[in-house]
Amino acid sequence: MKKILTTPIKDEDLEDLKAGDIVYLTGQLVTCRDVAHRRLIELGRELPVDLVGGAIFHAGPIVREKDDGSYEMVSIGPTTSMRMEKFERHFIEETGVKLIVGKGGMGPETAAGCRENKAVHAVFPGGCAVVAATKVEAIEGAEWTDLGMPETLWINRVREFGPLIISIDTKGNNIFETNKARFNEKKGPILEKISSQLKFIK
Amino acid sequence: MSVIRQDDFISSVADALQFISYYHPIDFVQGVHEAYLKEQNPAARDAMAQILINSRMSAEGHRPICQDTGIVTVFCKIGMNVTWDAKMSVTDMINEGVRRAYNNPDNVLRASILADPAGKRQNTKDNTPAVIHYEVVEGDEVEVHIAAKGGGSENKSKMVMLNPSDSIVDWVVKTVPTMGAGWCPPGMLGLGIGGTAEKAAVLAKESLMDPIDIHELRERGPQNRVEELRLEIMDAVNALGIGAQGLGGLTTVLDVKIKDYPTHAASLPVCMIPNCAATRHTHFKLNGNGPAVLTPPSLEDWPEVTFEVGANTRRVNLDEITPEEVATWNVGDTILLNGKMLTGRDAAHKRMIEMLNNGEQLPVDLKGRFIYYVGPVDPVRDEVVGPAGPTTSTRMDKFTRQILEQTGLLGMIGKSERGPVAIEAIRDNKAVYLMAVGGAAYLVSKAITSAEVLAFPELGMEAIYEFEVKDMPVTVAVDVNGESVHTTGPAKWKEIIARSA
Repeated sequence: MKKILTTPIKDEDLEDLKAGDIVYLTGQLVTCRDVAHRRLIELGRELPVDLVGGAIFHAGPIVREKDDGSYEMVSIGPTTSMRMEKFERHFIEETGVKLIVGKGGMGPETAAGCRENKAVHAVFPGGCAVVAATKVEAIEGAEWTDLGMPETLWINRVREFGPLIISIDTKGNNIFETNKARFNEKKGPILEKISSQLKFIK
Repeated sequence: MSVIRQDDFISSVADALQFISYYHPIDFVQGVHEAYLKEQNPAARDAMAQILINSRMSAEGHRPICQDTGIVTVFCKIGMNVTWDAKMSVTDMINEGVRRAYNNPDNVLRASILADPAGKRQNTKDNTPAVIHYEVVEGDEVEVHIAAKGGGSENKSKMVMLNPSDSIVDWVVKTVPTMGAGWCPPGMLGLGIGGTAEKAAVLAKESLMDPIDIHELRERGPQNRVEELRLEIMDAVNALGIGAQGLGGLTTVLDVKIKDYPTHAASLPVCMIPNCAATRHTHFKLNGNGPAVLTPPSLEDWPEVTFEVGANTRRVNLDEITPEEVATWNVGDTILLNGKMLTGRDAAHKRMIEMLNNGEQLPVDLKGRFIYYVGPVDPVRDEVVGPAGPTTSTRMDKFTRQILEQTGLLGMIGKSERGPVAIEAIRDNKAVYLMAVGGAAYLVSKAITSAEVLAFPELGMEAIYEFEVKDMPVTVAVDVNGESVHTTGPAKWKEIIARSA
């Protein structure tokens, strides 16, 4: 059965989710990336959007401004989440955000933040930005537009946005860290084999 | 509209390359002199004295400052209204200029460029091709910035894609100590910030084409973030205490140059390229009125510096040297070498190791001898040998234990630090490692009274020579106990600088 999260997201909605599960989101999804994180954490500026029980998307979309001044989502794919790693733990604590969507894994700080505040990180497949745009029903607002199109906080209303693959669950399990350990185990014997076949200068 | 003639362009390139092979930029000489006057660590001060004396000797004798006469790097800005009276492409003309300059019989420069870099690595014999960056600009002039970049410093270049929120200063301060001293400090750091990966690298190199002017910046005060960064990075790096030739001291960098370019919202590319003590660059413009005229500096622009034989200096006769005498040397001691030594670098070491592995006898008996890591420039006129400064020793680290243990070699002479593997081998075999000043190549060559090829003549500048030397100045860098001046020196001076701050 399709698991659908709806904002505002409550702790119990996330309790049973495990790293590797697939979910969809309905409700509000706010784009929020490098500079927004820095403004909140480094500069102490208040975010112009209430994220309690909310969802953010590490993304810099393409948005078209229509003649009547409203906006249309053209293309919206994820950006690398790891750049936000050093801010995310604080960010979760400060904002009460419950779902963080992005690309690639995040690190131990974010995992700690997810565990402490019952939040999750999920990945949306990179490079599928047009599919993602079709899940955006409307852009309901734009904040901090001084940052330019990629960094503006775009407030999207989405319906069954996904698939979102849970990469960090509320227990702090991190699918990317688990996989990394597995890959590293495989590396040893391969490296040994290659090393014996390579010499310094030919 | 101006017409640039083929011969004018080629001879301008050739003349500029000859010019920079023996004339340091005066701003660089002044920068080193200032650092020399300020320096409190005697070993670092001696090293800078050698660099300054070498610089003046090169200017006087029209011989290369360093035996590594570099890879030619050109930034060429071509005005849109320029037309060419030429049969060759601009790239071919530049390479023809390189060819003429490096094979000039009055001052032959070392041909260091190898084709097929991942395969045969075959010397092109004339130092071509140059690395050329073009820009098409407004106007009716051709502007050329030209440099001869040494391999030792180029090898220490670093590139990183930072997160936009990361500190560039932190990255530089973390990275510079990992570069060792093979880039021959004191020199400059060139940083390219922004753009894309390759743009940052080109910006970093281009930034090194500018003269040293950090003093002016410090006086008038920074007016933007890039100018602030230059000062912050310079102060933070000098506080590391690495010092001239990595011996520990007050000055590691003379200037920090930065060029920047807009970048992607997700990106902060940074490339750092160090420039060595053999900083060689100049620029000229052509507008159709004949070849470029480069005005030679006056010898009076060089400071009067003498290399004093101080209390901690001793003369050593290599023909009578014993392990017992070597055991009395301490790191930081200055030694004037006399007598006969052998030479050998990458290719000769590789050959020797192969022969040892096959159980063959080496063509030269190394027992009790000293080997100098060098690839000299060919001599001209009545010279015994061309400029012959040391090459980076760490490239020989992986061979050191086997050579010491199987041949009984007593000492090595080279440039900058040794790695842990080599230091342990030196300690275990009660051997010694001496450091000659990188970039003082012409000075060293003047201490060489005879040179003879003993083995592997087909390796050219990488053959094994026997040099006879008179008062060749070196510093004890790793002693028989495995103490390394490149560890103790910077650590000590970092602390001294921190305390006086």
